[in-house]
Amino acid sequence: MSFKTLIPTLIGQTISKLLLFRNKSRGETLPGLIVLKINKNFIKDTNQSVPHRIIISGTNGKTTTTAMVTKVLRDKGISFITNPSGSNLTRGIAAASLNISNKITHLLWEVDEAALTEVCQQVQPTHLVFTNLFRDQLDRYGETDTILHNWIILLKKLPKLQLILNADDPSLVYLGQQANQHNVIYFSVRGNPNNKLDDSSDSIFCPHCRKPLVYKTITFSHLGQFSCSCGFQSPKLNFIINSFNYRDKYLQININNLSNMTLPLIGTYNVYNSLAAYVLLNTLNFNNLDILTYLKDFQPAFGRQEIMRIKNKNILTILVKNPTGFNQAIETLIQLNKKLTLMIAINDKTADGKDVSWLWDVDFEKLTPIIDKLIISGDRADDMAVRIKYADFPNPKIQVINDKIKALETFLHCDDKNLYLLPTYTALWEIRKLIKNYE
Amino acid sequence: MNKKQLILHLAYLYPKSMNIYGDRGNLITLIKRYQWRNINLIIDEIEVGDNFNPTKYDFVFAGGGQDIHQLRIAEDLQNKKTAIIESVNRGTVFLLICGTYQLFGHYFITSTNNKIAGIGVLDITTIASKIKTGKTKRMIGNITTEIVIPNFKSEITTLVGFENHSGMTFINKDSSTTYPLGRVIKGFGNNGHDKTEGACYKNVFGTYLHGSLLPKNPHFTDFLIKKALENKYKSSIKLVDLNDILEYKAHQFILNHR
Repeated sequence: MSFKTLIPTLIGQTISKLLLFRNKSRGETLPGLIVLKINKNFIKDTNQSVPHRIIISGTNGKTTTTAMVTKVLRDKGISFITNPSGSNLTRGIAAASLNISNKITHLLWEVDEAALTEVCQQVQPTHLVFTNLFRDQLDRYGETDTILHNWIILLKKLPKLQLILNADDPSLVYLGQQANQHNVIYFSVRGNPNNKLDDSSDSIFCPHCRKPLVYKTITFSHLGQFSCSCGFQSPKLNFIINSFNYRDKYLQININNLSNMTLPLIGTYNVYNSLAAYVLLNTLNFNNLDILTYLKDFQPAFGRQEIMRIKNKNILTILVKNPTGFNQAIETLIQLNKKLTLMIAINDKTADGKDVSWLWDVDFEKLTPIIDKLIISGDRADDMAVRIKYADFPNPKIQVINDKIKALETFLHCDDKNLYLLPTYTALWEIRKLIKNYE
Repeated sequence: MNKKQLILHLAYLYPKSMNIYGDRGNLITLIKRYQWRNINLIIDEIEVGDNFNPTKYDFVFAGGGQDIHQLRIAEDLQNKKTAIIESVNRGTVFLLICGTYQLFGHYFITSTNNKIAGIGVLDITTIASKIKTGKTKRMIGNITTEIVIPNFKSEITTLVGFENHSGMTFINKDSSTTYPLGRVIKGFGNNGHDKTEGACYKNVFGTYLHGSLLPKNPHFTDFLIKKALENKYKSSIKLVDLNDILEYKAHQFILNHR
């Protein structure tokens, strides 16, 4: 360790320990803020001596993809560091970098889209994975076109790296073409020719000539096999999932007609996450059998189909943050093929997005037929209730309980043993805290 | 209301490209509130290049979009300009949010100092905050206004929503035709300075409010619904009252967070 990093590291680690002693959650980022104040290039100075520097970004799926890769690195006994989910801004990476030592061979950073430019310039990644680009909290991130434009500028400036892209997202294919990066690997999931574009799909126009794209197949939202009369089209694929199915809450995936992967997850979006993790690990030269074996007993990350157990109830939780994510959560619940007892909790704090208009881009019309009991809570429960009313959910059946303690109480008193929770980010934190108090 | 089946035709302009801030919520709300009153609402989606029939529609709705789409729309609107103006003169109700609101004015000067021609239905001009003030200022957050439409009769006169724009819109000071939709109580409004929000001319209503706008402002929604019916059937119409308890709770939330 050089002198430049030694002092900030010592200070940061001391603060970390003091904070951990008092309050666990805040311990994750405050030391990061402080070391960056002392040395603004702290990330650069600590990260760049580590041989493998991996960054995973994109709108949806980055936490789960990162958790999958983490599982394999851990089981394989690799000396690596990753940042806790939710600490994916610059200060979170700085805080996690406090633990870097000479032994570390891999850094695995999940990075928020808004922090990507700053973090990449510091880390200079060797591997960069993009999961997708969807409309997300417009008040925080801005328009998808602006984000894509910033990513292109960023990639042009970065030294040569291994780029891993979702070939089904037209924006990312455009990114791959414009990035001036030679090593690009594309992965794809074969979609359905009968699927239609959602009303709120974003990247359905050709990024070159702005004409509407023609889709041969669609998996969901704007992801699929596309082409335009100007010549822009789905790229040559390196990894493809031609088929997948669900059996007993397990996802079974076939990659390149060769490898069969089994994971304890549901939902098409998790097919993409699994593939992204697989492709990255494959590119890092991990043994095929190791990847498949270690992922078989993967445990979902925070709020990503995580099951909380309380008072002999199982609460399956799917975090909802944006229209595509929410639509995918609904599709996943539909696949369970039963009537559900459900709680939706919508907050509008900064981390959730202050603008709740995105709720109107979600297809609640598909959700209402599978609901047996519904409780709506959170700071913006009233907006959510109006949305569900206009999705033809019978008015008298809407149970709005703004107070989260009372809402949780009512939820836990429902007859069903298996409960389903769809919260926004800060709502999940609040509910988790309440659940802890029950224990 | 009499027994005759009432039918309205609505044109949804540019649903594929101008749908950014939950604009679909406004459409869903119109569909439901007509449906709950047994009024038949027929919707045509009109995209770039499609024909706009000026005599067919009683209601026209258009939303906001990403900057890059706005350019395509601006071009297409020029082709539809004559037909749209004819429709406006027939008293068709127009609800325009954000991006299309701007393009119904004379012009919009973008942050790259590019002047995009509008169709001049509203006597307004829009200029990117970066060009006007030298610094990009995003006007963003919950907003409350007081509706100032002269003949607007309702117990509740506030309008609530969310705004997110960097364009500053100004109503021509000497305008004899265009007037604001609301007076800003909390938020930025058209430009963050003159306390005006939105603009109206005849039955054209432009606004920066999304959130979505219509679901949590049922008094304003019903005002538009009634206007469209009365303009078509040329007689006074009384709408069936609906239970709006949930809607007004959502409305109240924004009022409470002044």
